[in-house]
Amino acid sequence: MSTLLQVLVSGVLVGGLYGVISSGLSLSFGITRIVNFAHADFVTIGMYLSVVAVSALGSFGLFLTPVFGLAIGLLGVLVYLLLLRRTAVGATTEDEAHLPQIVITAALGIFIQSLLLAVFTSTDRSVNTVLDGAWRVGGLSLSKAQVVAFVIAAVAFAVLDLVVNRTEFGRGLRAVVDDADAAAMVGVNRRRVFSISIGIGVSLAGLAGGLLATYQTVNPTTGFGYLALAFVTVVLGGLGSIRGAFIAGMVIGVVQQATATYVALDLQNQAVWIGFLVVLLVRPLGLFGKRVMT
Amino acid sequence: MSASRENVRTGPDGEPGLLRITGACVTFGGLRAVDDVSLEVGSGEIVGLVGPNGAGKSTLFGAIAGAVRLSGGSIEFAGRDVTGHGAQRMSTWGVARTFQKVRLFPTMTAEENVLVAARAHHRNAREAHEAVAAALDMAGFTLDPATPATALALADRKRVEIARAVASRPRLLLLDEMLNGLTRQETDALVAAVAKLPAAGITVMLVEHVLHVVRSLCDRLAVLHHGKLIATGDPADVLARDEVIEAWLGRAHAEGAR
Amino acid sequence: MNLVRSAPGRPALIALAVLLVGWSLPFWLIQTQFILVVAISAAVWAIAAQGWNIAGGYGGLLSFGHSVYFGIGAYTTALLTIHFGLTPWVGMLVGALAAAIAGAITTFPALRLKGTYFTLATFVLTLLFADFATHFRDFTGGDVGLSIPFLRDAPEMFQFDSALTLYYVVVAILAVVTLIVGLLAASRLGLFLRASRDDPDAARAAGVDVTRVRLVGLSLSAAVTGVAGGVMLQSLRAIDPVTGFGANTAFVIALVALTGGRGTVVGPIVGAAVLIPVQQILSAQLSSAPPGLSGMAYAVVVAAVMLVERRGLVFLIARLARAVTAAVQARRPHRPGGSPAGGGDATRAATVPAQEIPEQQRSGS
Repeated sequence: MSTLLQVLVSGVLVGGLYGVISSGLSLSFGITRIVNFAHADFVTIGMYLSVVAVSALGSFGLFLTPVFGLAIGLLGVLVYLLLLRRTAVGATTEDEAHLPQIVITAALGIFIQSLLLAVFTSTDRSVNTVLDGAWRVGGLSLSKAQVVAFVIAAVAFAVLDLVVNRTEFGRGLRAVVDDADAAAMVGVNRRRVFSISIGIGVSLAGLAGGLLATYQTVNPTTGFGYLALAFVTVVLGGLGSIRGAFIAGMVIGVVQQATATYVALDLQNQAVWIGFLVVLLVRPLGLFGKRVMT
Repeated sequence: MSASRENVRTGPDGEPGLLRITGACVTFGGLRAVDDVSLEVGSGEIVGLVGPNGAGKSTLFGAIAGAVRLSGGSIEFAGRDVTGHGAQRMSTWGVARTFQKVRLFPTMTAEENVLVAARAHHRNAREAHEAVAAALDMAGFTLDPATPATALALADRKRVEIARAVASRPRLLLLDEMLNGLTRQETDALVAAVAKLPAAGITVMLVEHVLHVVRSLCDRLAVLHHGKLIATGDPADVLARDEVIEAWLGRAHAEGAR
Repeated sequence: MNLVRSAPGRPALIALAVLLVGWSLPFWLIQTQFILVVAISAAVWAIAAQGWNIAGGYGGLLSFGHSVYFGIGAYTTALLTIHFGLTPWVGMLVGALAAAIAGAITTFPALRLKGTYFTLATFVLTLLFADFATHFRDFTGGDVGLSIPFLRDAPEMFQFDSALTLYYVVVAILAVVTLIVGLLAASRLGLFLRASRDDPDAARAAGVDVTRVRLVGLSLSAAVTGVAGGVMLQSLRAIDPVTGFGANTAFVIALVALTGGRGTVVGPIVGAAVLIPVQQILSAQLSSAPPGLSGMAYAVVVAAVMLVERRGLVFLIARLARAVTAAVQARRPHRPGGSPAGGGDATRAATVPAQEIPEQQRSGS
């Protein structure tokens, strides 16, 4: 029983970060329809920035995590404007419009991984901070870093949710998700909305990376390992639904922990992959999906 | 495929029975786009399907072509119950169509577009290529067949789409607003081409707004309004009825006068 | 210079060109053993990408998980050799068959899922296979994978006296595969695959059985990529989960075809000839280049091609060739007979910037 509780709690704590990574991806996908194969590599950038900051400043460096998140977001805006913006112009079919974007983001991911390899080598890096160790509550062991990371992730998600659902800017975003052409007609600036949504999505990935670095070692391909998890989460949550993605993130965290505990550690992802493929075939629009595909 | 065609009654113009729609209904999320429509089309007829926008004409075409599923009723084609069969099967059995908004294969040439249908319906490549040339000719396409589909003007895109439909050796051809957006001259040429189809063994149903064409080309009219069939019969006769004028012609007359 | 369109007779010419160029390379370009190894690898990836091209290029099924079929081909060949002593010549064909069956099964999601979803599903599927290949170690050798015995000079077991002989054998296989894919592309099936890709509804209305076309297309595609897996196994004499099923393999197969020019017979070969050397000559493991350089260069080439000509290098080359022809002709106006007829027009036809011709305004509706 206490094992089960531990599984649930650990799963939710880890899953909160999946949720933030994925809600960022879901937001940018819902608006731009760009499947960003480099999304998870921005997680890695966030992790390395944390490692560098903590090495230089000690635990105090963790306070820079939000700043890094913003900086990574700006990087995302640049990526959109320089690499992705013009690729869909003049395409005759939807696939033709999205294919170059998939290819370019895949190449960008390879570039980021290679750049990090050149700078930091392939050695695993980790940090020592005041968040090392665990709190014991009842029979449960709660990693300090995981708890703090989860709380910050939850706050970040709450802010995102408020912005999307309660502000004028968010209204514009949702209008684009529902009907890009109609939104353009009522004067929503497509380029601005697209670049900002990619920026927000990527900055959430970077923020999550910064938090993840407090309890997870990092090498240049660490983030890439989260890419498929993020895709799965986004699809299960319903492409374009940020709340769905956040909830699905925690569900997947729990599924992973449960599989690792009760089945086999090295099969923890298989359960997620199989569940994903089954759901995709049965409900192609995701568990909580509304109709966002055209 | 060819064997099944032997079963079909082939009679003089207007003989009933090629297509028999009985109580057809199509619902889209609670909205009845087609509501209890029963209609018969005989071999060799040219039947006009008319009515205001949103009356369910294209939806009914989709249902006949197997692209839209009926929620009630049945469709019989060439003596067989075809209710619930998909678009590819319907094409095999001899129903061809064009789309309201022209849908050519964008990465192909004009010739290749037609060849797709020809190769799906002819035994070997040589016959198929002959069919392509004949179909393009019949549709009045006179440009280089190797022109890419995306480089064609609207009238030529429509010609290619009609040629693609004809190349599938149809018994029934559904033409959805083929004249929309064409000049008077282009219209006349296409109308002349369509008028020759029955002689080639092709029965025609068309959705059309251009009044003089409807009047001169069609043997019979069927009027749809809010998904219901409100009138069928001889064009001059149907167009004179009050309910038809009220539902549709008032507007078309006004537009025709502009 | 008509690289883009496929016409009857052309596949044979292209296959012949592959043989001739491949045969000549060791005399003037391939000067070291290292470059020879890179060339073998490029030829193997070209075979795999030719397979991808059937489904992804002609059929529009944008798989980012063709490594599933690659890995199945490699593992099947290895297991048959190890357990039954079966010659890889036959093992590869069995591997291709196994890959084709997997391809047929994956047609099911391909029919249900639209573009992007299919891409994601295939990507996840290959990670699943990689995890399985790692987990069931009694069968697959786990992380380490499988190795086949080293037999010097045993052509009947697909092992040769020198890397140069292996190179010629792989080039010959590439030529055969190119011929097959070229004939396929020019065939009825190729036409139907393109129609199903461009507009499945219109294809069905024209009488194309889209389901069957995709089933056959994806199975053939998987079979060819499966053969590439078998050839890779023979050239490395080993296979492991990452090489067989890993994300990198999935990416390389798709990116080679996409960078070269999807939906063209020579595209995968051009893509492999450019990308694989960039990736491997600069690789830190294989040469003295600093770590990361290879990946960065490879990524830059892929992205640059997409930004300049999203349909790939073949179309870029055709565009350049046309510009050069036009410039030459402009300089010699007294020879109007030199203006492109037939073939030249067809090249232009296929490479006109894809643009939507606006529908005329609907009048009176």
